[in-house]
Parts: sequence; C-alpha cells; structure tokens
Amino acid sequence: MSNLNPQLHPRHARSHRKIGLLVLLTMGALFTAAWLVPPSKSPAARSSEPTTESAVALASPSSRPVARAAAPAGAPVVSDAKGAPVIEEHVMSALHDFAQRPAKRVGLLQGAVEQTKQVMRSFVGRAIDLDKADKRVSKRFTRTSYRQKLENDAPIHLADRVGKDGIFTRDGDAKVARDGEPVDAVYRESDDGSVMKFQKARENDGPAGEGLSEADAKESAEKFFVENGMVTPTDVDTISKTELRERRIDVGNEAMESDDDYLAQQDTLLRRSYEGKPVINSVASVGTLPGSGEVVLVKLANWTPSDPSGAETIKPAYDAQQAQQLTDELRKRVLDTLVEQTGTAAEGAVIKSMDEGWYQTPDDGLIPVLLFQAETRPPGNDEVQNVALIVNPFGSNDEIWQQGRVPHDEAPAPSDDE
Amino acid sequence: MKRLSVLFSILLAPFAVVPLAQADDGIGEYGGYVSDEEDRFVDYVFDFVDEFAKDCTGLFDVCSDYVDSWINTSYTRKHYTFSGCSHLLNNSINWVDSVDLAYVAGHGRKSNINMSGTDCNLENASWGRFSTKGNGDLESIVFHSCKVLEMDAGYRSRWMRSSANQARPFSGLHHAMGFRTNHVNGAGAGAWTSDELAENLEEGQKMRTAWYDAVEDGYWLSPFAVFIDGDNKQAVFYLEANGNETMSQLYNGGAGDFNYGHANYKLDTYYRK
Repeated sequence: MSNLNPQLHPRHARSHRKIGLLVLLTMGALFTAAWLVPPSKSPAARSSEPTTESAVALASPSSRPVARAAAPAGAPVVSDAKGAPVIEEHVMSALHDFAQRPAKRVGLLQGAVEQTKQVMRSFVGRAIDLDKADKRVSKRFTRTSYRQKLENDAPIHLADRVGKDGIFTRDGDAKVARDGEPVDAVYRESDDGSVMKFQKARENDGPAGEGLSEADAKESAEKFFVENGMVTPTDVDTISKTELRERRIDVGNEAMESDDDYLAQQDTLLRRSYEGKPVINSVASVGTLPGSGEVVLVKLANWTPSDPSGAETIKPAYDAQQAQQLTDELRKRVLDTLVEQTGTAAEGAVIKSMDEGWYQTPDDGLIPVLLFQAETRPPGNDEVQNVALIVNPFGSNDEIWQQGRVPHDEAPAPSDDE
Repeated sequence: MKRLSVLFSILLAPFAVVPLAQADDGIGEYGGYVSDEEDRFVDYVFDFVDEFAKDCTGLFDVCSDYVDSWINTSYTRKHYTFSGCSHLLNNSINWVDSVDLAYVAGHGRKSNINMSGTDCNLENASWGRFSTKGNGDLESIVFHSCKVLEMDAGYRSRWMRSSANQARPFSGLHHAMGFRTNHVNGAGAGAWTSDELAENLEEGQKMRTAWYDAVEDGYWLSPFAVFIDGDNKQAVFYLEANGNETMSQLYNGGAGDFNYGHANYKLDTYYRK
C-alpha cells in the first residue's frame, strides 16, 4: 500500500478483468440499444405505469437524476452561509495533528486464521456435517454457506470449551433428538477465513424468562471467545467494549393492544481496539436463548490476532509544509466522502468530530482509518441526523465500503420510462 | 424506451401472457421502489434487487455463482423504479401491491415515507388480498428508512384495521420490516444490510429473522457501533400466524391472508430493544 496511491485489491482486479470481458460483450449490444433508448425523463415526467425488467437492463447509469451537493474546493474552514458542508476547527486541528505524525500498519499473526477456523468448525460440527450439508457459494460475498436440517444436534452452551485437538472438554457432547420441528442450521465462512457465522434457526415457543443478567452475559461471552481461542487479547490488542442486545417480541391481541413483551434472544457483542483505537470491522458475537441458555448464534469477523513485531511504517513524520499538504488532501477526501454518502443532505452538514481507528484487511493487517461524525439535515426531515464517515487516509475508501464483498458496477438508475 | 417496447412487442406478441395483479397469484415477484433524493437509496434497493433470486435470464445478465439460491421457487424482479406516493398509496395495486415482496427506500418518519419529495402517509395505505384498492398480492414490504416502524404507544392502530374496509397497511399484508429508530448508513452498512437480506432470504431464513439479522450484520460493519448508541434499531411487524414464513412460501400465500375480524388478525413485533 503506497501513500495516497491505492493498490487494486486482487479481488477487485479479478472483478475488473471480468468486467472488462463483459464490457466488450455488451458494448455492441449497448451500441444497438443506444438508438432505442431516449434520454431519461425528469422525476416529474415519470409515468405512473409499472416498469418492466427489460427497461431496467438497458437503463444508463449516467441517467441517474439524483441531485448532489458540491463540496467546497480548498476554502477555509468557516461556517458557510450558502449551506456548503463545514468542518469544525477542532476537527481540522486533529486532522493536522494526524498528518504530522508517522503512521503504521500492523501485521497479523501467521496461521491464526486457520487456527480460529478450526475452533469455529468444532462448534459447527456439533450440528452440521460440512461434508454432507447443502453448499452454496455467494455471488456477492466471498463466502460459502453450508446448511443442514437439524433432526438432532448437540446443544452448545457458553461454558463449552474446545481443546486443541478439537475435542470438547465437558460432558454431554452427544447429539440428542430435539423437541419440535427440525430447524435449519447455517454456517457461513468467508474464502479467506476471516469472517465466520454459525446460526441455528431455533427459537423458544414463548416467554422463557429474562435470560442472563447484563454482567453475566458479558463475562460469559468474553470467556467463551477468549478461552476457546477465538479472541486473543494482549496489552495493546484488547476487547474494548461488550454490549448486550436483546431481541424481543411484542405480542399483540385482537384489540390492537400489547398482551406481552418477552425476551426472544440475547446477543452479546464484543468490539476490539488496538492501542486504544477501535478496530472498526472486528466483532465477535454470541446469541443465546433465555431459559435453556443454548447458543444459537456465533459470529467472528475480522478479529485475527495482531503481530506487533510485524508493524511497518507507511508514512514518516511530516514537516509543517508536508503536513499541511496532506491535511488539505484529507479535508477534501472527507468532504467528498460526505457528499458521496449523503447526497443533498450534505448541504449545511457540519463535521463535528474525528477519531482515529483501524480497519483489519486480509492482506495488509490493521491499517489506519479516520472516523468522522457529521450532523446533517435530510430534506423533509427537521431532525438533525448523525452520519458516520470513514476515510482510508493512505488508500482507497472502496475496500472499506465493500468490506470484502465482490464489487458490482455502480447501481444503474431505477428505470421509470415507459 | 417506447421504441424498445414496440420492438419487443412485435417480436414477442405471439407468446405474450399478461399476468394479473391478484392475491397469491402463484407468480413469485418482487420489486424495488426508490425515492430519488439520494444515491444511497438507489444503492440500498439495487443491492437487494440485484442480489435477490437472480434468475440469470436477463438480456445482458451474466451469473457467476454456482448455486443461485436455496429457495425452491423462482422469483423474478417486476419493478426497479424511482417512485412517488402513488406507487405506495393510490395506485399501489399496480406497484407494490402487485408483487409478493416490495423493497422501498427513502427518508422516513413515523408511519410516513418521503418518496421523491412528497410525504406519503402510510396510515392511508392498504395492501394485500383485502386492500381497499382491489385484490392485492403483497405479503411483505421492507422500508429501508428511518422510523417508519416507530413503536410508540398505540402504534398498532396506524397499521391495523379497526373496521373491515378501513385503509390500513395490514389488509392481508403479512410482514412489514424496517427501523423503529433512525437508520444511518455508516460506511456502507446500509447497502450491506440489503445485500444480507437477499442472502438470508435465499438461504431460507424466516422473513422476520432474515431482516433482523441483516440489520445486525450491517450494524457490525458500521462505525456507529463505535460512535453512537440508539440508532439502527430494527423492527418487524407481522401477523402472528405468518410469523414463521420464509420466502419460498410467500408466492402462494404462505400461512394465509387475514383481515379484521379474523381470530388470526393479531399483530406481533419482533424488534431490538
């Protein structure tokens, strides 16, 4: 990764080659189609008749009528009466401070992904036989899904631990017949092994109590991931935040009132920080059913142990002039990102804060990212909305935006011509 | 486009079949309806309609995956269009209520969505087999918007009928999915959610958990997990009897359509606290 010169990710490169072939194949067709397709009408001129699929296929991306606010170009950072987005002074100071300091990326521990995957597969194996399960390769996410109908399975609990040999260290591992209709279990695993999610479609039939206390849920979830070797905290690579989230069902009656409101599932999420800064795409999550305490969801995403000895400087300390140049470039990147993300709502937006963070990539380890919070006022809505922006200061934002998905071409304009 | 339509009409006229917009017409169809204010609304809807049940038969469509879907039913995209209120309200029978699943994106607030600059009061909507507009087909609708499914006191009265022919969204409708709070598209989390919803439905999840989990996956990838609590809380309104339906059951009516006066006309909500 070079400074302000993003490299094309191999995954993107494959996609681009494929797109290249498609372009050649479709150019002729589009040429033929061009004389057939009139320019897009304005929204006001749209027909009220339904649109057909063939119209969608031939719509031109350039016909997209969405209005966009212009970002200010190189202007000083002050409030703008014309409604251009504004970056507050203290945010600019933080940006300049970042530009002055050296920056690094942090490598990931070799072999850790494979080790974690084996632990996850040990848990999955209590329900799904991956060799016999239905298999599906996603066209959008670089992952494979496995599905099996559970006639019987071994329940998983937060106290379960897997030894290095893949054997569980507690009794009661046998698969047992379960009450009720068989349910699906699905396991998704990304091609690079950095994102895994295992889920059983099992639910309680009704209320089963209020589950674990918040403190117990958090402690049990942290131990589940750490003691099973799926999350490996160190002095600098830590669990920064653990959050308990409740799925509930509000049960209605014929009088349109609420008869009951009960807990359906508890999901406990762990977030990560490195050197005190959040790693924004790392997450571990475990979901349990109240009553039985059965684990019905385990997810681990982009939480590969870091290797501080593999840290590499990607930008040295800058002198004042270099730092100002980088600050100007980053300010433009922030505003462009705001406009790209919010469209017309960027008008009058104020960027209120900046934080530094990390983003885990499969190839470059932890890379620095900048996190901004903007306040916007969307059209037709009097409320101020908070918008989060992420800028990859030394590379393209695309990798962060796609987050491992296979990129597709820009969305074509919805077709409204008839 | 008219010239194209004319050309296709000439070529295909001998084989033309005109589908009727009717309840549970046995034709699996879905549609995307976009407010034209922001690019991200286009992204949300396109990511869903492009991902979901791709049949690989489009004129310029090329599929690369090995297995499209675990849904044992063919669903086709009927609409992908910029929309105004008429698509949801007065002329809904030809738009959202002519498909089994509708995906809608725009700025929202309590029982209201702004479509291309106009506020649409969804209390006046009537979707499904017992719609005031006719014999509708819609079973499930997604609002990728802030607060449309706000759960204040008495929220059910905005969505359910208190008399047989009242205009209310649940007029045979099975599920409405969305957010009970603001929804914010942090770093592409919004489009990730619509991608994941398509995947979850294709892999046979129940409608309500498919949406819930899709939002959770979007949340994980959103910097709002770092910054702000309280946003991006999802909700699914559904009739209790329709609560376990998957996409493969919707095209022919699933567990059935229920109207005011029926014992099954009870609205449950699956939501994040």
